[in-house]
Amino acid sequence: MIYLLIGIIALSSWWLPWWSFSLWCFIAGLRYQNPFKALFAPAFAASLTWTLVAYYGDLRGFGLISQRLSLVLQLPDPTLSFLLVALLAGVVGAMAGISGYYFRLTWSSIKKTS
Amino acid sequence: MGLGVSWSGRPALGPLLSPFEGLWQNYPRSRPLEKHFVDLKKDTQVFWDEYGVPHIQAKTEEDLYWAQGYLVASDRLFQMDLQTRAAAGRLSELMGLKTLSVDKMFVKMGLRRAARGALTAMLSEPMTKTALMAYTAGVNRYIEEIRQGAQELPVEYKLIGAEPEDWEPIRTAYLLKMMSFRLNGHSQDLNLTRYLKELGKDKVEDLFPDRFAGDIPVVNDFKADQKPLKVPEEDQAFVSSFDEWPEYLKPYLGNGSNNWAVAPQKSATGHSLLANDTHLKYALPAVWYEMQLMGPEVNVYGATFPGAPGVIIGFNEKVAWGVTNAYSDVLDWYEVEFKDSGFSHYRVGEDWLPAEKEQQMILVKGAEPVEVELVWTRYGVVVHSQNQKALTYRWVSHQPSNELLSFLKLNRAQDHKACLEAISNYQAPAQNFICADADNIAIRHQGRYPKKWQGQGKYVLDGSRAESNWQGWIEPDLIPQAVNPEPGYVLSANQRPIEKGYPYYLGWEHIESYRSQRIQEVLSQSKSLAPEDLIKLQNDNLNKHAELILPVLLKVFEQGDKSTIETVSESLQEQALAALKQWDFVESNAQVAPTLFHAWWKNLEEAIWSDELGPRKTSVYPKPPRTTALLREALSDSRKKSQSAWIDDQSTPDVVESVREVVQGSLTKALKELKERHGSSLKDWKWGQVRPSKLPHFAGIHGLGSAALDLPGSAHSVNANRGDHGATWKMVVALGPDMKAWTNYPGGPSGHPFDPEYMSYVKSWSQGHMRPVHFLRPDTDSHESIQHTSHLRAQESPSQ
Repeated sequence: MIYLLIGIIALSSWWLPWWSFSLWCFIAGLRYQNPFKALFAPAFAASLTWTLVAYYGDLRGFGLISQRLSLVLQLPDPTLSFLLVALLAGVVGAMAGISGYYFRLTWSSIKKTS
Repeated sequence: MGLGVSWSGRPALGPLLSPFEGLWQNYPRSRPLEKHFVDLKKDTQVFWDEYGVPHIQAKTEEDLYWAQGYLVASDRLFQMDLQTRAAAGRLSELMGLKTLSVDKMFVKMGLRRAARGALTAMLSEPMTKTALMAYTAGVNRYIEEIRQGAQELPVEYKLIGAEPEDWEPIRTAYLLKMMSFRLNGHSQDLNLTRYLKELGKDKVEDLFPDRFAGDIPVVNDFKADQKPLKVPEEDQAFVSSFDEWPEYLKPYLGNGSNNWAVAPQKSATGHSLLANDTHLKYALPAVWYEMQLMGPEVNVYGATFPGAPGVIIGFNEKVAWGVTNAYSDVLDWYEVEFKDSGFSHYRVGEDWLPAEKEQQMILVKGAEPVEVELVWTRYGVVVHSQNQKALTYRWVSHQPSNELLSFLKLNRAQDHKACLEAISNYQAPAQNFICADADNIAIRHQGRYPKKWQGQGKYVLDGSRAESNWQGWIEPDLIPQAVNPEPGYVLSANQRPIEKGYPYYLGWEHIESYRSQRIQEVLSQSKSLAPEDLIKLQNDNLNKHAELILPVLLKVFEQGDKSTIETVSESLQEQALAALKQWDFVESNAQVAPTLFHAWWKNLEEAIWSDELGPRKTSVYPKPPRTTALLREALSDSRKKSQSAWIDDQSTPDVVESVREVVQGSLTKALKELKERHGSSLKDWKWGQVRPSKLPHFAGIHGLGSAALDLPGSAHSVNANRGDHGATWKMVVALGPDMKAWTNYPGGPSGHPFDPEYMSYVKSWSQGHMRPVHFLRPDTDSHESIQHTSHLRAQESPSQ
């Protein structure tokens, strides 16, 4: 599942808006039975994908992007630029994943009560 | 910051940090091998040399300027956009309320009207119209590619959450007007009017004379057989009630430049040599964009303005030219009296003339548009009013003009005469142009200058008197000029243009002669100058001011009687005096003496002038030669207690301070300040450490500027460096059949902060090195310096 999620995020994000990966994380969350997995697996997939693609961009930019970005954002070290990217994707991915999980639970309970 | 939406002017973090669309996508792209464009008439090549300088070879004029626009936009789009938006008073459309005051300033200055006038002039001339329209189309092609996703949106647009709009020809007019504002848009009339009220005219004239002993005029022996204009007595007596600066028009005197040319008889090459370095505010991306333009009727190399077609400073196969700011007075303030509070009519003599009103709108991102009403008089726009009296100013740059035509003609000039002819209609900002061909050199103090009587416009003028208005324009043949003068060289460093006796008043604010004295010293001492000597002189850090005054100041400490002034510490003072005594007046980074001298001089000026003229921040002090002359005179007779009322501190009426006390006290104060800021060890007071220089991002975006640079020099050395101002373009040209040139500038070709070429020249520039220019000949197919060739192919339009 996690590899599939990474693949889908990596491919679709080139065409869709930046927030589109949260849809895939939400869908993944729907399928997880464990809330911890629904929280952390999408977070991990989104973080890893964003960080790797950012790192690739930085390599193509001779390391200048992370360096300059850290100066613009007033971070003490260029590496923290990647951490920020990972954190941002991770938080959005985690929120979307856990939202999917609880959406499924809520939906199931509504169906049961009706 | 918000994730998906911008918040409080900060960009949305999500799209900004997304590696798929955000800043991580702004890695440098390789230059294209081949591209097809429907806009091109014929195939065009761009050769990129080892330094990343583009050389365009086009078969039509239109293609040449189209390609220039396209290339410059690809490297400098945000810079072009923001600079011209600023002049148009349109920053707030992108930035919101935080830039509203800047927009109001430029709108209230009447720059929109001035730019419209310039555009009309440019479009009415076929040569400039062709260049302008083609350049515009080239810029727009690049913008279109961004919209189509074929090019990445520049970093700064992503950071402020904006996108470029279509480029229009008027943007070039705005750019040229902005340069006019920076170089010719200030004057000290209001400060001097304040002093006039407080001190009286004789004292003000004593402190702010029109010329100093030792001045080296730009042009010597210029004959203007014209009678000086009669000075109206009534105007002499007028003292305006206005003496406060509108916040936005405060003068800045940091801009300057050097240029000089050496005639064949003094040149080691047997042909003319030319050097130019232009001093402006440091910025990244660089102020200039270096390139070569090869077209059917032109082959020119040099510095271009991002946003304007053609080359502004440079050389072609026959001619080289360079510029320095003229500093002659082309902006005068007038007090006018209105008939009513509605500002409908103002008085001139017995008549009430109608004022013209103009409504201008400033659009503001995230807020309501702001309407600004401009009131125009015969002089210019009203900037300030009290009851029915108003302050307005007349400025040459409000006149329609076509400076672009002069530059395009310069690009094509084939000898020094054609060069002088090319600039004969150039208006503003007034410049000292030096033209050189292989065998001739010439200098011309070119600009559109008003005819003024002696002293006219030094203080706020009485706008209700017809005689106060400018008396027409100085005729072209009366503009100071020298061709092949006797000494075998011409030079300018923003100093006074001409000797006493010129029939019209050109102002008093020209820069003191220290740089020009040093240039003259070096040029006159050598019988044979090589291009390397000119490069060495551009990097010369000798401070002529220090050379003149420091030995005199130091004598105060040699005459035995110890200072009665409390010293910061005897050993510190002894060390400081020892460093100053050993100093060779060269302002190199590793020396402590330049730090000591500048701190001492600053405190001396404040000690002498702050009691009469006010604190430095809100006042203008006499130029250094005046203070220097005062001190030299006062110190020449050590027996006198206080040789000058200026030196006595007016705030201590019971005590009469002697010049020796002031000099000693100033050093003590300087040492105290330095100790507080940098510690008690003189080792930590080195000039390079104490006065670091930086190249900030031109729009002030944090993190996109340079780190601190260790640059030598000061405002008074030929290698002028104020820390935030200095040589933004350096060029040396050896003319003749084997034309050679060397250039450098702080920055790099690219305007993209994540591109290694953004600052690729900074290191070599900061070390004073020059790059040999690869000047290509037309119909070049290959050259050893060419690293890459882009073929821009003409493609038939699908509709054709």
